[in-house]
Amino acid sequence: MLESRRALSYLASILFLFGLWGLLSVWLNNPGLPGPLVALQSLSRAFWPELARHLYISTYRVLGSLALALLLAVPLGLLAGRHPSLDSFLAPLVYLLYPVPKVALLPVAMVILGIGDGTKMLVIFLVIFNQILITTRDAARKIPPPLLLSVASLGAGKVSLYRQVILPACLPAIITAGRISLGSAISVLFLSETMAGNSGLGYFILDGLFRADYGAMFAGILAMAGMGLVLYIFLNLLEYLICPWQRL
Amino acid sequence: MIEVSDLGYTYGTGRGAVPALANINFCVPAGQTCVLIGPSGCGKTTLLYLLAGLLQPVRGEIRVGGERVTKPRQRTAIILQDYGLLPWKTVWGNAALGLALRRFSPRQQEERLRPLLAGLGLTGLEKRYPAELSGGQKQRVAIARALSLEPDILLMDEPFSALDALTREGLQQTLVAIQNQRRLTTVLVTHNIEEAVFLGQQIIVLTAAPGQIKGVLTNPGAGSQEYRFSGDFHHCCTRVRRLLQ
Repeated sequence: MLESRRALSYLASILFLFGLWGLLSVWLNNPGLPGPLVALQSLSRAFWPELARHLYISTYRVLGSLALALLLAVPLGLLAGRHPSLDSFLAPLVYLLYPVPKVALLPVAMVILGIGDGTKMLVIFLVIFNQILITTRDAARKIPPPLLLSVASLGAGKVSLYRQVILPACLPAIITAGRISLGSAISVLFLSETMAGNSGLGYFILDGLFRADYGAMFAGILAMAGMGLVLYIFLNLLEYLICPWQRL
Repeated sequence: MIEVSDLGYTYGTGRGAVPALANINFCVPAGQTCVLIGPSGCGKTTLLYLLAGLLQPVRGEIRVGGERVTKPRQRTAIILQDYGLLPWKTVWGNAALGLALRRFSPRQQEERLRPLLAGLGLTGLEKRYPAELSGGQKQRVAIARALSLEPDILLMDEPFSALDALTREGLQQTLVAIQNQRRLTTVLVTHNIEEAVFLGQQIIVLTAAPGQIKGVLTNPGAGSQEYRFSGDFHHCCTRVRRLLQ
């Protein structure tokens, strides 16, 4: 019952957004913004093997950078949250580097790493690393001390405390950080793919624009939106599976 | 037997140091229940952490069975305020945690836990999460987890404070039954005078911070249901109340 109501509300939201989009396209009456039906038709007419190749490339760039950022930022965040001495070293670094627009480093990365996957993934990684690090550190800081003491009193060593208490306590925050980072990651991906190289959905969209093939352009935009939505749903599913207590 | 001599503890160092406990001396004979009672912030919980070996004294020492406590002891179990249950573990996962940490096989865990959970009325709730339990059920899971390690010392920090009167009395009875059965040496922190007098064969009244011992009462009648309705019970409650005032 609850699930079907939720599905209906999602459907209603999609219809609402498409309605707004349709109205805007009628109002603007510009070939640069076709209506949703035209865009969907262009998606069905798109050269799928080509679009799928770009979709695949973009997906692994986003997922790869997200996975790498999680792999490095989560342990560092957990340690910084629990060890004030490490945090006192890290916090000023993070604070100083946070306002620096990492995207501005894209040209530097291009010079050093070329225009391949490495450049794009490095810039995405740099943008989302801080977000995950800070969220994880703050979650690790907030763990109620009695929870740690009660498990320590049962005989848990340092490693067991991380495995049994600190990591699970931070999991919901880590997944939330993943969700927020996903949005940033896709934005940076688009920018980096439009700036360098000849692959990925960003390139595909820009190529459509330059060829004035707005159908292809919108097929790329819809594919990118779809990719974001699927990855978002994937993170929700992950939370559902690994944080069952959060559902209560 | 627990022996505490000349114990002192201070939070922080230098100018920011906050003394929490000073000149604490007492002794709890094996198999007895000692209740610590005092105003909020008097260092009761700190004293319990020190007894558990989770904190190290700044002054003095604690000995259990003649041995100095310098780290958490294998056979000391502690139940903290709010039960200390992990929200991400089920009843079974929480109750079995101590055993799992000490590398008991799943079969050994099963053998120890099944009768314990049944005795505490938790059978059938094994797959539930703490958020799905009542306060009394959570407390029983915490007791199961503590008893699974077959402790000889049980430390409890305001174990029944968040429960309604009937559940509280029921659990007090359960605790007394467990103690009689297992001959546990228990130290319990409470700010409820009736609870202190019902459970504590020895009642230690602490002063406001930094906590010092204001009085020690012996209360041999503690633990029996009839005692709750006797004149001695009320007399003892009055003495504790006077000391607290």
